[in-house]
Amino acid sequence: MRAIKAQLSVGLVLSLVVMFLLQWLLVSVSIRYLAEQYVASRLEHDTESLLAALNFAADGSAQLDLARIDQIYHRPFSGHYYRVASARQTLLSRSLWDQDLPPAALAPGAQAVTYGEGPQRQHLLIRCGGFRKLQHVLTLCVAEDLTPIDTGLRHFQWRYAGVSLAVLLVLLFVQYQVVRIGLQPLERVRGDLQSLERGELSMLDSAVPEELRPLVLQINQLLETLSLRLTRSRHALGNLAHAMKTPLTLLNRLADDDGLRACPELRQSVQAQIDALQRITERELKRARLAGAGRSGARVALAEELAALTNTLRRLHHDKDLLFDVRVAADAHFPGDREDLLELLGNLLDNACKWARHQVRVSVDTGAGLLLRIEDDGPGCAPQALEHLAQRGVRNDERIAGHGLGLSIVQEIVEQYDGHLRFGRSAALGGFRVDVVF
Amino acid sequence: MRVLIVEDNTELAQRLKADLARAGFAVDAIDNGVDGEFMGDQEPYDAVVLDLGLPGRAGLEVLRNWRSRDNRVPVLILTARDAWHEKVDGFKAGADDYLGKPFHIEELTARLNALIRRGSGTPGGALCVAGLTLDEDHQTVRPGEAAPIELTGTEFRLLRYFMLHPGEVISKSRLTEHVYDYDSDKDSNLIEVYVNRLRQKLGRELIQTRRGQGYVFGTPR
Repeated sequence: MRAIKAQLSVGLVLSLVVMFLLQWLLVSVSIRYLAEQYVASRLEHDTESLLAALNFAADGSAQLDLARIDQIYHRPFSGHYYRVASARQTLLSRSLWDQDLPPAALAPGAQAVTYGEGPQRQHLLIRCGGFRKLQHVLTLCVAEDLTPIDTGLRHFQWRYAGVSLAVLLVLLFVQYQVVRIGLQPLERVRGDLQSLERGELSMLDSAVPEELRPLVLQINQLLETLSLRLTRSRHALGNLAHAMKTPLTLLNRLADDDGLRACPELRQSVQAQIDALQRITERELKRARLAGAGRSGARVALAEELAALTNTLRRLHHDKDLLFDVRVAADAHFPGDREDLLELLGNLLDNACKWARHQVRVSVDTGAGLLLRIEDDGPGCAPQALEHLAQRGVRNDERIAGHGLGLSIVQEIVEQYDGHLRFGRSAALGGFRVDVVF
Repeated sequence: MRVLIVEDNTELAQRLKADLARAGFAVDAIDNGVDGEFMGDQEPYDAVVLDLGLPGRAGLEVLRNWRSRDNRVPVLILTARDAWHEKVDGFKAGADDYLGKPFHIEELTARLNALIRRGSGTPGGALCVAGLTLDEDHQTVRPGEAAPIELTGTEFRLLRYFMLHPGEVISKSRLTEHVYDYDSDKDSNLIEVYVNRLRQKLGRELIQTRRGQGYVFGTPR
């Protein structure tokens, strides 16, 4: 979830930064190139007018008709300079103010454009060309200060970078929002999954974007398959129990038959085997029947089930006049399987009913997690016996009917739901107390 | 006391029928849900022993159908399906008691007796009416502190029915229906014979004849 967001963000930031950098570089280089091209072509024109203003005296010395030369070449350090060099002499523009340009001697027809340093550390673009005029070989160099262009370009670059950065930030913000909004369905599905785990939902909402639909539908199908498989295996187990128990009943009955009563030893060993078979069947079937917390989507209203369960227990223990005191909020829920809950509470309450004199109390506390407390007003349990209580198959008191499996099954259900059991003495009723904490 | 057993395992059903008959019940056994439901509606049973996994129609459905037609016959569910949620669902469907297989016949008869007793509003413990104490285990009756008097099967069933409904006017046909099973020869003159035998054993004034109406046991209400 986080990873997708981070991955998208990092990818977007990197590509945007690279794009803006490249653009900035390209634009800077292009502008500089165009500006220099422009300067160079102006220098070429100036060279031509310089050449036109060049005359030779009778002694062969070169002279420039200053009136035909642009005034800018006469103002000191104006940024525009020339240098005319022949074999015999060198003519410099007045703007150079006694300084010189880097000397150059080119053959007629040759041209060169170089950078150099001029007066006052000006950054110059120097264009030199070799000429032949009236049998004289000359090298004309014309230079222009690039500093204003450099400064302008630098200003432009800063501004351009600033605007680019602002645009980049806006784009990143927009992208972040787009990613966030785009991933919102995922957040919703995650919320749904959590509700599913808590048992508030049994299926995921399939009204999600196209990309998520297959995933959600797959999960829903998986849930359905699982619950179907669970139902089927429970069904199969129920059938197995039914199939095994009726013959067991008959065997039990046969062991009681008058014919077998005649040989007590045989009857006793037959009865022992039947009892063992019965215990094993009972234990394995009950254990296999537990669904555990793995089954999602189930949520049981505690008040309703407790009412039905106490009604059942009242009828099963009709020989006792029991008072059930059920303290449960109307909206309390058990986040799990109904059959597990009933098996858990049924065993604990049945135990309480067997021991209680008049009263059994069930209280449900949903404050922190879920606490189910079952108390009775029976004789309770000695402290040292409490430790042995939850051990598998231990019958704490053989006088009370039962397979001794109740508590071990309770223990297993509680473990499957990551809860635990606490045993003790009831402060309110004086008898046995069991807390189931989830 | 007439009891209906609805159980698809015929061997178990026959054993149960024999055991319950020995315990003083008139028993009919049916091996499927559809016929079971029909019989439960047609005959005035005092209790029904109902299996859940039945061919034709599931036991819980049979029970729900009876209750929806306001048939209040006391029902004991006798089943291998004894998980707690199944017990809860059984009682929700209208059962009066629930016994998981495998079971001991003594427990079944004790629960059936208690069920029938509750159905007629009589408290638990030994049945004690009009100075007579009925011992259901030994099928004998003790007048006060005197020695127990042996009863035959039919006498026992007849006396128990009278003792569960003391002071009521009970017609001969009603007695026939509750004392004999479906297959017995229901000659209402036989009832007169057995009533006279009970009078001989326990005293004439105990069962009074109301001409054209039937009999009243004990003191009239």
